[in-house]
Amino acid sequence: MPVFARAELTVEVVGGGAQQIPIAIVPFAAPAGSAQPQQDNITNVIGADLRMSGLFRVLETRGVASQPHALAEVKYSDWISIQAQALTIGTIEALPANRLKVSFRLLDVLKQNQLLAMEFTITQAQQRATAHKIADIIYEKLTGEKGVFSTRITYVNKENGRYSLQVADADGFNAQTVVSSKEPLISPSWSPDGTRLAYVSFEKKKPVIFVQSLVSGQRIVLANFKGNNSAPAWSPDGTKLAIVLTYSANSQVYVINSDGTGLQQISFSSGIDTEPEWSPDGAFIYFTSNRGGGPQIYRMPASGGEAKRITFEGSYNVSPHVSTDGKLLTFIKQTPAGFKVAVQDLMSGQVQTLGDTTQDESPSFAPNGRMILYATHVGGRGLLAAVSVDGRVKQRLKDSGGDVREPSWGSAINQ
Amino acid sequence: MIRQHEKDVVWQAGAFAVIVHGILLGLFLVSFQWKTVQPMNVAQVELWDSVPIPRSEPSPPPPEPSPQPTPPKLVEPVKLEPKVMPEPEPKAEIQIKKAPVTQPKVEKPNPKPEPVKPKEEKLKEPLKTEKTKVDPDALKRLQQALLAEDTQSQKHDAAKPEASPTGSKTAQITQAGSPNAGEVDKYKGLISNKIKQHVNKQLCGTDKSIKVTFMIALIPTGEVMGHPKLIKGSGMSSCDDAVERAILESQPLPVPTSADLFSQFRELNLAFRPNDTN
Amino acid sequence: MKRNLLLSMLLAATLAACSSNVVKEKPAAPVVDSNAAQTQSNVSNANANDAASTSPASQADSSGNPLKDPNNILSKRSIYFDFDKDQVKPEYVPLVEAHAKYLVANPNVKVVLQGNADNRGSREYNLSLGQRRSVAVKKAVNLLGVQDKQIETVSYGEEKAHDCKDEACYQQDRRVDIVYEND
Repeated sequence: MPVFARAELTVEVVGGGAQQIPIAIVPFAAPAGSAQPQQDNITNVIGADLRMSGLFRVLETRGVASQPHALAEVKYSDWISIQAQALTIGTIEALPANRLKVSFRLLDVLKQNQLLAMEFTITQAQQRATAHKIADIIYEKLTGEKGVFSTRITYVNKENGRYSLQVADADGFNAQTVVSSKEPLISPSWSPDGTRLAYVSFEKKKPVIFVQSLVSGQRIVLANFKGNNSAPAWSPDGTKLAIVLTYSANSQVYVINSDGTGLQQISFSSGIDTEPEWSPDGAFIYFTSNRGGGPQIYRMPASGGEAKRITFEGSYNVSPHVSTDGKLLTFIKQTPAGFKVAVQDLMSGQVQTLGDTTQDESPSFAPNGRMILYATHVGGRGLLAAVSVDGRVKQRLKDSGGDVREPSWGSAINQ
Repeated sequence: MIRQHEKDVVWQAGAFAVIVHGILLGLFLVSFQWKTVQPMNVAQVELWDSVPIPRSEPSPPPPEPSPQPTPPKLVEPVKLEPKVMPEPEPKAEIQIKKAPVTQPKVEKPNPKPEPVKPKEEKLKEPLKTEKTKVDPDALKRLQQALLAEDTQSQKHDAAKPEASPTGSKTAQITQAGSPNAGEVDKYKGLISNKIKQHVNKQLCGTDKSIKVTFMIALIPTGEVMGHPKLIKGSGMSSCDDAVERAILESQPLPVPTSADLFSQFRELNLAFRPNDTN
Repeated sequence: MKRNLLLSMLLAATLAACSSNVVKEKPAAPVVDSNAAQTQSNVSNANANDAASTSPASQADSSGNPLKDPNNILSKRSIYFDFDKDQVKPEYVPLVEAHAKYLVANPNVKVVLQGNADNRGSREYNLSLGQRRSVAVKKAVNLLGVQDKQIETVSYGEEKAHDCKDEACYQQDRRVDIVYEND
């Protein structure tokens, strides 16, 4: 018998073919006799959130023999056979004073062990928010990234001749009106701490910038200089805003303190400079300018100075927004097919148009940089849509029935 | 069970069957030449010109009562090739014939002065062993060898560095020769491709240099014994977890059925580069 | 040899002719009734009432107010622009000159120049574009002697634009309206 060392073989695996994590969410056991509207059903909200992220394939659980609610009831073979990799089970119990206890467990089907377990004591009204929180927890545990399901979005809804600025959950539910007017409202912008909104209102028959507290409802006039006042954008530290005035005849970019003091002009071209957006580190301001002919996206130091051109493909690129990690730029690009959401890698310069709609406007990144929220037109109406950064997952948000425009994704957590 | 409406059909079917069998039999009798006339003898005589003449006599199976001189007898074992079609055994010889292709790797350490002799001896021995082995085994080896060649030509860029040393080792371990190097590579490729399908690289960021290495213990059914052991992580637990899930999801892994070869797969290193392209 | 060959060929031929016709009972394919829901696109009438209507009343008013006289060029109040452009085209120069003359002759009369854009592209950029268009008209009448104190420029951007399907419709939205105080 020859004596040879048994060397371990090494198998190399390069690349990967899977794109989503298959997860099964067993409907949480609900208290007997509870009347929950379908869409508030905690299980459904968790599933819809994870599905919206594009990173999860939420499996159908109705056909599976066992419907476990407790750990002891789990038969892993059932879930292996539907090719799940993760499993969520949970219960909702009624507590005195109309409160609820929501408990859930996240299990690894392949390793057959528990990944985490949590419980929440909540009021009836907090069910949706709790479901979003559970979706965030599951998302973070399995992807290592922060979930965005508890964040808020803002947008303008035009209906019956009235404009209303609204704030809603990331999935479009629970909309609340912040301000309403017969004249147009445009360009809402979230303060970094999510407590204030800056926006442009035409109620004085000209565009004027307001800053309103979402907590108290109070507002101040931030800028009402001669000519147009528009395009407010908060600095990352929340102390200043970049705005656009036509005070000196052309639309130019200015910086002003959040209390309306300390106005300072920072762009000086003879064309249109507008749509300022701060870089996440506060060092630069990206903006749209037609100083070269058609509108393109440029970048200048936040205190003003020489501008560097950023977009080079095509003749019309507007509405820049930068991802929180500073690596990606989203904007609207005119193509032969129409105006489309696009994403540019700021390092490589590579550009990709996303989604299958052609009258896109107002793109903004989700706080985790994975998705882009934007407005588009379908059948003569404005609708909100979201697309994943790689273009793979596309969806429409809950249709409020009105003509929706100007969405912006905030980083604030819904309390 | 024959249902009523099928009874008529059954009789017709039976009759047809008998007729067809009869015709087939007739074909055989009429067209098949039982007498073999081998003009190819001449070419093969050139190969064989030395001692092993007496050794070859007990080995050839079908009788070849050719009145030709001794040299053709030398040829007898090789003569079987043209008869490959109806008989499974001679098929094994194709394997032997192709062995010389990879043998040069093995022969380097061997004494150089007599390349022909060892070749002949090696050819003879496998022939003997083939005879004594059970046919299905030989058939399987043939199939695996053929497949190994296919996969070798298509894949295994990553496995190439492994090919030579493993090939020579397996050749030393099992006397059947280096077709096993091809088999090992083949299974490595199968394992790699199966696991790759399940790797969700979206959870591994975008850095192309990211590497994850696991060690797994396998049992002959292809299942992982215990848990995969993380040897080197990516620095992102979501990525390491995703890779581990991909490994577990791919069970049972395709492993060789022969005990000798499987023994090399008992403990396997899995080296992942999820964001790389090759 | 040849005879054998021939015989085998014949036999082979008969074999071929003996292939049985096996009748397989195929299960009836289920009929899938797909009623694709027809989404009816509501095409909003593009001819919505525009507050700053550019077409004046059709009745002939010859009571002296040239601004309201349909036979007078002054009753025309809109200047149209090309896509993403703010230059006053030559065909509108007579119109601009006529209003400039009137304003110079009536120094107490004030106008608001309202700039508009079609709804393609971004709202903010279109707000700026509308502004540049109204400024372009202001500069033109400035050159003809009209004082700044008589002129105010504002922009509505795309806020009054229609949801257009063709270029003729988009063209109507790219304009500056000259709005007199008493309009």
